[in-house]
Amino acid sequence: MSVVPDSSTDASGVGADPRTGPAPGPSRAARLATRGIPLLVLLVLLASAPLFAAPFTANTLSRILIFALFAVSLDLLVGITGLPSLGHAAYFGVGAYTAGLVSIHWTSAAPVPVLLAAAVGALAAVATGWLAVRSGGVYFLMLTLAIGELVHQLAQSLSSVTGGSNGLFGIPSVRIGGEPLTLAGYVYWYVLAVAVLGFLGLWLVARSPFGATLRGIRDNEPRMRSLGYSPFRYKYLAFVVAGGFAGLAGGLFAALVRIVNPSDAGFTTSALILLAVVLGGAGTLWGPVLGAAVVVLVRDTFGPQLDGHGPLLLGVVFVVAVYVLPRGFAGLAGLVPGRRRSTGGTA
Amino acid sequence: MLEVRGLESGYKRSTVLQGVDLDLAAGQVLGLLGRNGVGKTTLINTLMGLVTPSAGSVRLEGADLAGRRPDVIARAGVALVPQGRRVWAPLTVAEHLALAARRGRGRGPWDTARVIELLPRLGERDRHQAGQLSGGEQQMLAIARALLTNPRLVLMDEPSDGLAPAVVDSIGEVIAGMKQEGVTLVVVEQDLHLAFAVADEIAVMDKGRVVHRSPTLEFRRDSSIAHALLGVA
Repeated sequence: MSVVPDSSTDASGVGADPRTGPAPGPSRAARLATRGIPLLVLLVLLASAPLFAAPFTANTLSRILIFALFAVSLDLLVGITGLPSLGHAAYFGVGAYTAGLVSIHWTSAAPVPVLLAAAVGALAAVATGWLAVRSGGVYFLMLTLAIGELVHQLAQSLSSVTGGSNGLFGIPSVRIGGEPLTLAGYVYWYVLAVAVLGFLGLWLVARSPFGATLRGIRDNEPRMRSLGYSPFRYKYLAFVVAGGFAGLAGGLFAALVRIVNPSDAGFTTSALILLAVVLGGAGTLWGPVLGAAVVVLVRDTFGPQLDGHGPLLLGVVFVVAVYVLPRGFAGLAGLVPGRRRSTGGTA
Repeated sequence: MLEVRGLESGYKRSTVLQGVDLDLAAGQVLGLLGRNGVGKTTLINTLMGLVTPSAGSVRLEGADLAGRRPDVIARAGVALVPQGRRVWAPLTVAEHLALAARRGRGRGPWDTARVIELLPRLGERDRHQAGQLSGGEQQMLAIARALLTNPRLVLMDEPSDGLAPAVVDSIGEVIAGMKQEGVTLVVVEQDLHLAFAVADEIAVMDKGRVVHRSPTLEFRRDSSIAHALLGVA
């Protein structure tokens, strides 16, 4: 799969269409070398992980990938559009329950459950975003928080469908070509494939003209209005897309852990994923991937060894990160020579 | 084409515009002068819909625009080149042009190629982030962004603000180029040299009203008006 950041056929970069040109930089071949090759190496490393890692490690990596996809979907809202949501787990949860129910009652053949999870996640965002996106600032925070709690409550009270507070369990393994994926390594490959496609989708959205519109709205909404844009439509669409990808991540989560709890749609999950985005560096897309990795490792891997003090450790990590890395892990890239990134001031 | 009558507007409890009357013919360039705080920027922002008027009417070729949202006013054919440029620092020049062009495509003579012909510097810098441009280049980008919406009326708020004299001259040339293309313009300026160079007529504001209007040549000849209303010799 191509993850090269330029679809232009112009080899030199000179004379490219000025309306679609990407960020400044050297020729396409050099960009391919500086960005494409490290990505490819990373992808090969990730893909070969189950060959030498223990099942538990593969499982942790799967969790990280899922939460990374979830975090990047939230980054589309928080970092690209400027809408910090405290209820994004609602769509993750809706996706997880959808995938679980589809697998139990209909089919667990890949990729049906995750695709339906994404679709229902997007639909849930269509239904709720209409109201939320009309507000801004602290009201948006409160409305999304309320939406998250609503979904959490529904998951708990509709026990005949969701299993209530016991959770939805007995989700069968994902099947590919009729064969169930039971080994952690196979499940990991499935998660990796879907998550990479998800990342690619979100990345394409963020760098499309639509993504540029969202960044314009984030930085100066009145200015976008002055150009004739109606910000509501764009923010609403961003909310729906983010909901869809969160649903996709939820669908993968159901395939991995094969049990869905109401808390997966609740405030704690929303707060953790927002933490991952802020920790990683909002608006960069790749930063939240690192943020999600740290959150998952601290909570699920080191946390249990600390007598349940995982959240405390996470809090300490967050406070330190806010002081030491005000722009998240992604801010570290600004220290690397050759990577220019201007900050505000004229927007 | 533009007809403003009894326009009142302001912020919260302070009324800044106290009944502005202003007419503008198609293709005309009006230089809007006045001391600090007389309401020039408030007038421009009210025309654009960024400040909501409390009374009066704004008509653009017959359509009433007073109190409409800025996006509606923009689609009706008004564009703003704001004070301080207000470009999006993280977005590239190409992205700026694409954003504006998507809204204005097919509605008039301006497209990316033609704007770059008028502002060739932008063509050379199209892959740079706006935050990396010089003040003059940012001003040109703000002008390009406005033109690409194919407006019938362009409002420019202090295009010379914070720019070196040589750069102000080149902005003057760009405005002259726009005028040749038949763009109707209101240019708010503190720099009299620039205002005189580009404007057909001069209007002077004082205490929230337009208190004087005359052709540029006449205004320059009679220095007593400038002295009385602007405090310059």
